[in-house]
Amino acid sequence: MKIIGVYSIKGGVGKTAAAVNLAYLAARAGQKTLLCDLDPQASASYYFRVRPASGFSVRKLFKGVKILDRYVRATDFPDLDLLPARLSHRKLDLLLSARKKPRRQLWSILAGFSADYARVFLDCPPNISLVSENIFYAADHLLVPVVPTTLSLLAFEKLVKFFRDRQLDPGRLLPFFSMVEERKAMHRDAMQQLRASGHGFLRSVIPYSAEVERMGLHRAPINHFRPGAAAARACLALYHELEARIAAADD
Amino acid sequence: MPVYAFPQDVSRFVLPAELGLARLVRRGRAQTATYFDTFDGRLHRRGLHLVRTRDGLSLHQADSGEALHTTRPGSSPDRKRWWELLPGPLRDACEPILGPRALLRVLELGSRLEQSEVVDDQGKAVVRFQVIALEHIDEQRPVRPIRLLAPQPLKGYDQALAALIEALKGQGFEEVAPSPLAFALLQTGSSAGQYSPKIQVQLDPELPARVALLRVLRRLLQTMQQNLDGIARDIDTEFLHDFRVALRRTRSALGQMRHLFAVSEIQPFRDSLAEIQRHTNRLRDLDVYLLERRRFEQSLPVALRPGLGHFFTGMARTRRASLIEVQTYLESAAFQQALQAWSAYLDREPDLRTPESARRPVLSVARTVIRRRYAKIGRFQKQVRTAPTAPTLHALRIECKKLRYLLEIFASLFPPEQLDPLVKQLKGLQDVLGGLNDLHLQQQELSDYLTTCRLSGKRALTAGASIGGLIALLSADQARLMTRLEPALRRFRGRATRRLFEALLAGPDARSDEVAT
Repeated sequence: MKIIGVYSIKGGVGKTAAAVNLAYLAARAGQKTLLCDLDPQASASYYFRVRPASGFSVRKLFKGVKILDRYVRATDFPDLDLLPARLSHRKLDLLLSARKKPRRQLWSILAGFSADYARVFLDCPPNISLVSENIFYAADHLLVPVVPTTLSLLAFEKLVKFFRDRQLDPGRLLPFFSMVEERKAMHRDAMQQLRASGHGFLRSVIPYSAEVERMGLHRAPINHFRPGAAAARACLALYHELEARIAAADD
Repeated sequence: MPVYAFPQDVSRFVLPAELGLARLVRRGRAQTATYFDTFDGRLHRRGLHLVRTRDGLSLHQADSGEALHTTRPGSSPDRKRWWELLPGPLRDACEPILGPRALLRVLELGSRLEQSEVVDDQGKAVVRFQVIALEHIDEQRPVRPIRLLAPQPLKGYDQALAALIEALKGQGFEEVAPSPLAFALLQTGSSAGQYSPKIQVQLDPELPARVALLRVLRRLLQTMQQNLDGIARDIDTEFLHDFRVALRRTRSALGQMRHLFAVSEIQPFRDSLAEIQRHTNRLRDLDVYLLERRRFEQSLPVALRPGLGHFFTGMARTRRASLIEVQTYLESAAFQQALQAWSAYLDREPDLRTPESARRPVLSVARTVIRRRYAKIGRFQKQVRTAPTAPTLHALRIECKKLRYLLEIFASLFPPEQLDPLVKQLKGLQDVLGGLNDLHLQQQELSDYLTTCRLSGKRALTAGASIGGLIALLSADQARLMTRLEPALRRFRGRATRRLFEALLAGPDARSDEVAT
């Protein structure tokens, strides 16, 4: 089982869209996949038409995988399940900080799913909190969507520094460009500058696309309802690149 | 996934509005599904189905219908062993389950499938169901299709499933089988996957000993007969193996309990059964080598592996010849008559007048013979502690086997919680002894090959290096295993185990005076 976080400090950068489409593509490739919706906005659950599980509370997270598994929902797609967490992060941070090894809690919870899933995608909340730190610790790879602007570079470098300070391996960070508008000179320049910064940006670039925004109308992954769209093809390329990285990290 | 039969004169299922909206996903799609399993139903026993349709070969959970692994349809898996399937996760999942057994076609189901789902107010599917119109089972065709409905649960939506089942029952639908395959098997009255090489004869402790033993022997004969066809068709190596185990159990029982019979009565059978065993020895030995091929090769460094090729090719050739000999023998009048005579004897009303022991209650006899055999194993302790010779180890291995057969034959007379720990311990000891014996014979066979093989030049050198390397490895394994023998035997004859045996065999009626050894 590989845990892949999709994380950004900033909101509105195409994070949930990436998590939803990548999880869908992994399942379509025949891998048993679980998508954990850890973002309090619960957009991923919305895209899959899954209502938040009634009776789910933050405390349930710590009751072990058997209890947690009761809240997992099959999506309409084969091999793809979803955990609609709808977490109150304020409560969760409090609960986490009260436990021993508060940064490893999520990892030990998710490890219980290892017999059931080959891939676990985490749609992460956009902030640096104890929850995020748990995600940093748990994830084998952390995909970071970056909109190519100067401010994004600062935000990403802040994340790298945070990793170094916490003695986490920044090699697990996989930044990629998201919501790119090729016609904007500013985007092109920023991409050039960021690629030169040596942070190992992935080759795949997700373009800005009205189709992605239509995911909210279709309530399905774009790779399902419009696989030919440029953004869908870019997601597929990103998925293949991710799998190649996972395979390379295993060698 | 359990299937529900449509009530008479009902052609469709109406979803109550409060459950959501029923949506037809796919209309009447014709499908032919062929199910596969091993002769002894290994997939069935693990709650799995292996099905081939035009969409692919898939391994799925029998109860939920959830597909675990799917590959391209490929060629039919009929009579294939796991290593002959397409490489991939499905094959990997099959490996530990199938072992050396081949897959066999169980049944072919021709049906027309209609896929529907129930969606909630968000447009999300909460439960699915399939309407299956069975059009043929193998060659059989019903006058009109048999219609079934199979609910397909979605994870996390248990309530929707329960509501659907409730609605089905309300409309007179009845659960008829745990899966479409199970339903079809019921229809055909087939007993596919029911075979087991276990003895499974429930004995009444008060039964006259000979009557009880004859029941077990009849069951063992049945096992032998069930395996004959598989040996003749060379489906996999386990047919011959099971046949021989049943034969050995029979011979061992007759030998250890010959005092229950008049000597002249059973001696001819003991001779003819021994003759059958002799005719199949070589083939089984060769099977064991060939099954070990992969392990042998993997234990050698990559550079030395090709050198084993010639050895195993020769062995495969010898096996083909040996198989023909066995097949010819099984068709021979001598074999057929021997088996028929044995069968006729077992079916005859037993004459219990002589010897007297034939009438003793079976539990009492079982206790006596088991106690004797267990004691006999203890006599080997001293020799094993000093320097055991090959003949000593051989004799000890045989004694353990005899005891094991007794425990298996009389298993139904003892409480499992008392018997099982003893069998487990004995099995541990037997594994060591069996391993030592195999390693000894394998080294001998390999050395013989070195002196008899007709290779020359470079090929002889590579073969020599590989075989030499293998002998060295086997010899090291043997030395390592040898260190486990003495502790295993000590434990098996130790005070704790002796107490367990005493508890198992405690009874007022133990008599050892008239027991043959």
